[in-house]
Amino acid sequence: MSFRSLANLSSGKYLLLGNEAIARGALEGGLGFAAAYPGTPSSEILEALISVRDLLGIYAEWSVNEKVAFEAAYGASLAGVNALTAMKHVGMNVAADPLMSSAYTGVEGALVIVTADDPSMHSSQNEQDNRWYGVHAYIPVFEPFDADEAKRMTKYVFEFSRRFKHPVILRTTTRVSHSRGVVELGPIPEVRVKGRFSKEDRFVTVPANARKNKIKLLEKWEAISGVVNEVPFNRVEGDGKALIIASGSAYGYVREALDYFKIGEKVKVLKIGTPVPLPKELLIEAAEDVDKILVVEELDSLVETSVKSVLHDSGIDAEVRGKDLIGYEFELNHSRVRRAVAKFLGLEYSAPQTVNRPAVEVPARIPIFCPGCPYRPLFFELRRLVNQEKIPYIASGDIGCYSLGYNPPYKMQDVIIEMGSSIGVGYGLSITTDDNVLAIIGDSTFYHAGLPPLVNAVWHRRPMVVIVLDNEVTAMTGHQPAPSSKDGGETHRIPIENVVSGLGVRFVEVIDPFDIKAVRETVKKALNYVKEFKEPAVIIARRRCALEVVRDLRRAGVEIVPYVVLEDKCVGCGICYDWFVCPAIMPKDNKKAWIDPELCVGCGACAQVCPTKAIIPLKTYDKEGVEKFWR
Amino acid sequence: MRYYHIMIAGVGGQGNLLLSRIIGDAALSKGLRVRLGETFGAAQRGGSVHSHVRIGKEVYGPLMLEDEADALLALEPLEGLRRGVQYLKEGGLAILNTRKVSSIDVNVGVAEYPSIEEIIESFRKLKARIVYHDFTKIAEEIGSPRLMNVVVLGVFAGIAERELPFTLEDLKTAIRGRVPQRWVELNLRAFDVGYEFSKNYIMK
Repeated sequence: MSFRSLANLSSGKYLLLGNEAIARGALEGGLGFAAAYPGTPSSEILEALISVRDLLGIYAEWSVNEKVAFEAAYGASLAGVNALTAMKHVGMNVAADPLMSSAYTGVEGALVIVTADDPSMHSSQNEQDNRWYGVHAYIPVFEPFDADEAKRMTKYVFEFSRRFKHPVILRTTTRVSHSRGVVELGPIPEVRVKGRFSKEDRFVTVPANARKNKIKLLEKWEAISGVVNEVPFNRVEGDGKALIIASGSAYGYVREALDYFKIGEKVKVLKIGTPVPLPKELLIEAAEDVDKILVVEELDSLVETSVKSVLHDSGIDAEVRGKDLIGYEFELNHSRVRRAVAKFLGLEYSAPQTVNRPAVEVPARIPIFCPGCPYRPLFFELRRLVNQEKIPYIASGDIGCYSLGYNPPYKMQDVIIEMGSSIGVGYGLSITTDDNVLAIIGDSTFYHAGLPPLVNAVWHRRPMVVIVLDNEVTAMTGHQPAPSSKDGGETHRIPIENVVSGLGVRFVEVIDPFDIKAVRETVKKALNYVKEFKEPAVIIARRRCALEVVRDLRRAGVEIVPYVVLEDKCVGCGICYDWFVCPAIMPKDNKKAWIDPELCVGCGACAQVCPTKAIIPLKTYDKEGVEKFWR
Repeated sequence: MRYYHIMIAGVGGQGNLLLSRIIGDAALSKGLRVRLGETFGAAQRGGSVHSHVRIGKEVYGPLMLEDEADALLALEPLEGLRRGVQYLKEGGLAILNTRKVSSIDVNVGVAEYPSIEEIIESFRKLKARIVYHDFTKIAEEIGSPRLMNVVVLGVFAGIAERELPFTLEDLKTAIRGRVPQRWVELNLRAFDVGYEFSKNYIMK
């Protein structure tokens, strides 16, 4: 049951991913335009919408970054078209500039901004709580607790946004975005992708207009703050002298905790779907006759703080507990919430201890480059080069699959903070240290946020080596296209070397990362160049993502011929399994290498690292024919 | 039955998520509440992946608790052990594929891959009912190692037939709905072979 196959249905219950439910809700809410940059755990929203783009006639695209996607959706909404943009939590930092002002100008068609937060940092560098952006920007924040509510809520916020001509933030967390639940479908209205832009002063934020906008914004905020009391996602359930307030995902954990303790009806629950602004009247009504309150929410104490403030202002004297029992860090889970509820209500609870200890050590399975990954030979050779020639270096890293180059044995990512930072942070380090700076960045990340710092480095003639790992796709988030991808139906490839040359970089070389000799020679040449000419050098290492290649080979019915180790030639030196480190290559008991034919994708990159030429293909095959798929 | 919890453990690329969706669809077809908690690691292939399948009247959250799984479908022995000790309840059912997928730590010699005997011994300590076999080999004999996940599903369906809240036919319908058309026949065969295997299996 693909998302696409449901496009023509207007009823029925299906098992949808939270993100698919959001996409479905958007369609049912009248979406005409969608734009996003991929980022876990948000990516499936646009993937779903793109899968029905042609079928339903909506507009949907992957944009170059979150700011541009936001601006595009904002522009669409100004023409009266209902628009959505989606991003991971840290993506909102990139889009924060237009986000803040969009509340001042307001919108015309709906503008729904989805932020998928990542508590516990399953795939992220921090676990910032993006509900604060709503407080910061005067934008209401809606927070669903499961897939079904996510669908109904998304549909609802399209209407809400239109009604107030105001942007709305829909905030999910990983477990909402990446869990499947039963969703009931509704009808999709006729799609409208064209509108009309009516020129109004509010859209031109020169100071004189901005001041007027601010006054209007505050009026609107007051109206919205009243209306949230009637939003169906905020409601009171049960009754009792103890009140539990559960925001977003916390609601599911709280409901199950009450079921577990069999006290479902004896405790009052205020379910919060709009943490920003909090439904004040509903809260006062619920809190008036209780003795104590527990606030359960994921990450920061946003609701708890607001609750305390509202109660203080209304003179309600109930004890408020929250983060003191739940804790701030990481995602919620059943044990955590049950423990907090038990303490709050004075119940007995001992969390299940995993009494079951294994009889043996369970070794960790650290993430590693896939078999055939073009990044592996490059990292292998970089490590070998700096080791053998004792080159003092700082590998300024970035966000993408290549972040895995941090792991041993490569250890070629010394600092990673955010998208595009490799060049910007490396720039600063190159001024303040005498080490050779190698900035390592992927193609999609380069276009996302790597251009301005490179402009800066060229402008200020900073000697540093930038290596762009160009696998022609945004691989880590699931192979979304990037400006570096081959021409698509409606997209045009922008070769990185053209852009870099256009910026005035004079050392630009495109290499094949599978050619480790070329990697070594080119990096050495670049290091000498930046020393001699005192300006940046850029190396573009281009080869397609192996997962895409293997998929294409299989689709085309081309046989994948694995490589094998010649037992008599292998001397068991371990270079291939200790330093090259492909998941397909393993040591045997006699230290000789063995290649698992099930895992080997026949890329052949390992053959050149073997000093005794013991690695060869299982049989002869059309190398040139296969090679075409890799380019 | 208030709840039925299934933990599916394996490495990326083994078809873990597909299995959880097939089971989810089967439960949904019986009008049951279902939650599937999917986990995604950083690496796309070869990383540790596990899925939570929760079925029951009062299921709201996506993840099960420790020691709550009625069944564990272990597509890879080490991953089965990792999730099994955390999630499988005492006396729970474990279907264990014994085909190892080595890890880098093991390859480079900083960790040791436990022997299958040690892994099974650990499950015995859990008082688990355990069915173990090289199911990848069975899948290869059917036509592709990639069918292993559905072989395991067939074995599970056979052993747990009486305790499951849905039927074999519900599972087969779900397979038809989830698997690309040209793979349907092979997958149904894999399911049947797994089912037959379970009927001839004597639990030790």
